[in-house]
Amino acid sequence: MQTPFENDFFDLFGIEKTYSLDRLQLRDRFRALQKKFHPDNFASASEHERRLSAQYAALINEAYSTLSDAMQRGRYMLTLQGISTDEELDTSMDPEFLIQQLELREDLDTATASTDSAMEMLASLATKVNNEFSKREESIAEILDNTAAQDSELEKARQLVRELQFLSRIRSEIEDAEEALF
Amino acid sequence: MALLQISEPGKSTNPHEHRLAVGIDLGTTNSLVATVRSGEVKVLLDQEGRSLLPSVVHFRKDGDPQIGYPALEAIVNDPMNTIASAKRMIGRKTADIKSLRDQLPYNFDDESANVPRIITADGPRSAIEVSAEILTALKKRAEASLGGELNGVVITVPAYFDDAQRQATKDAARLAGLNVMRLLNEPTAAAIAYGLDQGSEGIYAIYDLGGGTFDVSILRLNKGVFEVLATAGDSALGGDDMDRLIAEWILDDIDDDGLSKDSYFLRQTMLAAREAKEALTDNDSTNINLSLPDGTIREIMLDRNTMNGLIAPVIDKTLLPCKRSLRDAGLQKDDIDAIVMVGGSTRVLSVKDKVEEFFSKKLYTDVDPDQVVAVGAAIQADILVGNRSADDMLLLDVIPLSLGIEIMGGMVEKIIPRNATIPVTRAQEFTTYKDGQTAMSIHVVQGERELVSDCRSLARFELREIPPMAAGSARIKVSFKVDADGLLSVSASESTTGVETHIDVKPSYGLTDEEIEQMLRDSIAHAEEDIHARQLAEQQVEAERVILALESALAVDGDKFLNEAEKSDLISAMEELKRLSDGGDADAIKRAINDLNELSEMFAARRMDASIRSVMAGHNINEFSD
Repeated sequence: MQTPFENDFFDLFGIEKTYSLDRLQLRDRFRALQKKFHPDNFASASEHERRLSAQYAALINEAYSTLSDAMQRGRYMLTLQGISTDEELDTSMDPEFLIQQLELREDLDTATASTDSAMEMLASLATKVNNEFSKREESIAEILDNTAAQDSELEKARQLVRELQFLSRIRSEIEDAEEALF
Repeated sequence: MALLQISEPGKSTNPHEHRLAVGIDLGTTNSLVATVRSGEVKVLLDQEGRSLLPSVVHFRKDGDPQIGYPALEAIVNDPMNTIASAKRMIGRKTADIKSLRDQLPYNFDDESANVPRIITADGPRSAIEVSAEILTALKKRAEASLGGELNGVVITVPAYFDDAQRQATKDAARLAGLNVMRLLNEPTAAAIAYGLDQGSEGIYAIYDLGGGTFDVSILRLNKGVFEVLATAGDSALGGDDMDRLIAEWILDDIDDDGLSKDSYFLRQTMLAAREAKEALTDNDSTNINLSLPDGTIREIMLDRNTMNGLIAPVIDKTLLPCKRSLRDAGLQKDDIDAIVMVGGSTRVLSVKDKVEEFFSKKLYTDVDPDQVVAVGAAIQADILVGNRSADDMLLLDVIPLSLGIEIMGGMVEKIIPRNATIPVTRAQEFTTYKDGQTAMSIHVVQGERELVSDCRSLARFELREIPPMAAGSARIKVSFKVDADGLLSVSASESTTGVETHIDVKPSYGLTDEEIEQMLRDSIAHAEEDIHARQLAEQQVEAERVILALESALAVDGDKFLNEAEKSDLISAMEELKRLSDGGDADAIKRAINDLNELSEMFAARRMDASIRSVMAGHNINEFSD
């Protein structure tokens, strides 16, 4: 992004740097910023202003989509602390979590193959995944919103964010399966 | 100009002048043009007082093409030279059109061309040119009715149109000599028109079933902000498909192989099918009268239940996108407050029934479904041209289909996911896979599938002069930029060694600049219009826009961000442009515009910078928490 903007996304929205952020406040600030910088406000402005406004608007959109998503927000906050969650550089995962993943996948296969109750099975599987997701969100918030968090705790948060990545992938596969049944 | 126009108090950013802007709904079956006058939206009528312009063009060997109602009559008499539903073909490759082929009576020229053309009595014509004819007719209607040249237009497109279809629509507008301020998604335009007025807040689904396209968009409305949360659809599904199913039923009933191959008779049957469908909105049954080639009249009775059975597959096909849009918005049916019904095909009763049953929510049908999109486009045009402050309303739209590039094994790596809010910029790094590799082929695709072959190919280009190094050590950054029209541009650069190669591409399934120039020359010769007069007028309009923008910026911030010398440089460049603009040299005006734009760059940058810094510094933070 070639904007002269150097502060982080939280500063951009003028909100506190917390994982458990106020979603409504974030949305309000997002809209207010777009009201100022969206290209529609510059349709009759000079070419350069139009280009700049498009860059700012894209940055604001990027910041909003990052902060409003639980997994991306976690990754972003860790990156701000110099911790990378790059999956390709890291293959170590909690074995217990991996086993649970395999089970979820088996459940998904069973549900899809079911002839009479596929929809119900998929729905209950989705609830299970959502619960696992929420549990991790809470734990991440506890760590990241504690300014005195130790390195080992941050490492735990990093693990949890990676687990969110796996869970959101299976969640979208469940939705794909639901769609295929429709 | 016949009458002086006075804008509504407080609505105009430039009170001494009302600028002419219209919204155009370029539809599959019908097109419309609307404008805002004295604060009210008016759909502009033709000389006979009709608002709709049938999207049909009849090309003739001698004489100008006929557009609209006269062309409609030619559909049956001269089907091969009368092009209807061009919107179904625009921005599509020959292969895509082939799948529509059995539905189209036309002959196409070069099968391998990027832009397929139909052979007509007046030479080969692409869907882009056909659309340009329709746009030209609407432009003439608007200029006659408003008494002056248009400063700018907003043209609506189906939300589900891909990049190539959008680009092609923009090309058509260029051919018609229109200044497109924005391509606006049809469901979003409808939402604006419904006012979903300042007072209304909540989450709405816009169900838009037109003649040949289907869109569904989920919008959240809050304090004048229209935020599209997700969109889905099918850009080749609509009332035409219902007509065809009914026509097939009629042909089965007649049971005559010879007739089923007679293009004249097929057109007649399609029209009869459409009439029957329309009649069954108000009646339980209707009689279809067809005159057979042997002169006899065949009368067939169709009742509503039978028709509902025939067209059910079309309606059912719209429900999956409804479900997907909810999913992408992260919502349940219960979260939706109401459904706005848009498009002529939503007049069909069983469409309303099925949509109401699917969402279990109230349907809004009170604005004319044919006009609602043009009305919304007119309101947006009025804001963009500067007649009304943009503070009143803001649209945040999304990209309908994911964008990505081809990676090893014919797989797609998505770079921008569908339903990302636009404008959006994303970059991703790739690397070489062979030692000493100095070039890389980049293939840009659009779609949701994992395999390149299942996605829409948008552009291919090569990045050359990569310095030779070991496999995997080059860092090639590919950036995707989608603007507020939903149009993509791609750039790539290699930066490992500090040597930067940079390339910008526009998707390739539109017309090249040269082709557009040539067509412009041809069409202008055709219309016996003077190409110089037209270029001059275009440059004068642009000069006026640039001058107005700069004058108002100088009035507000001139002393704040510019020293005396900078200011006087800018003003003298502006005076020079004003002087040239009164003369007759289009090229000189163009150069002066470029000079002025260059000179004002740092002024623009300083203003923007200050603007975002003031927000960041918290000076204005209160205004955000209203």
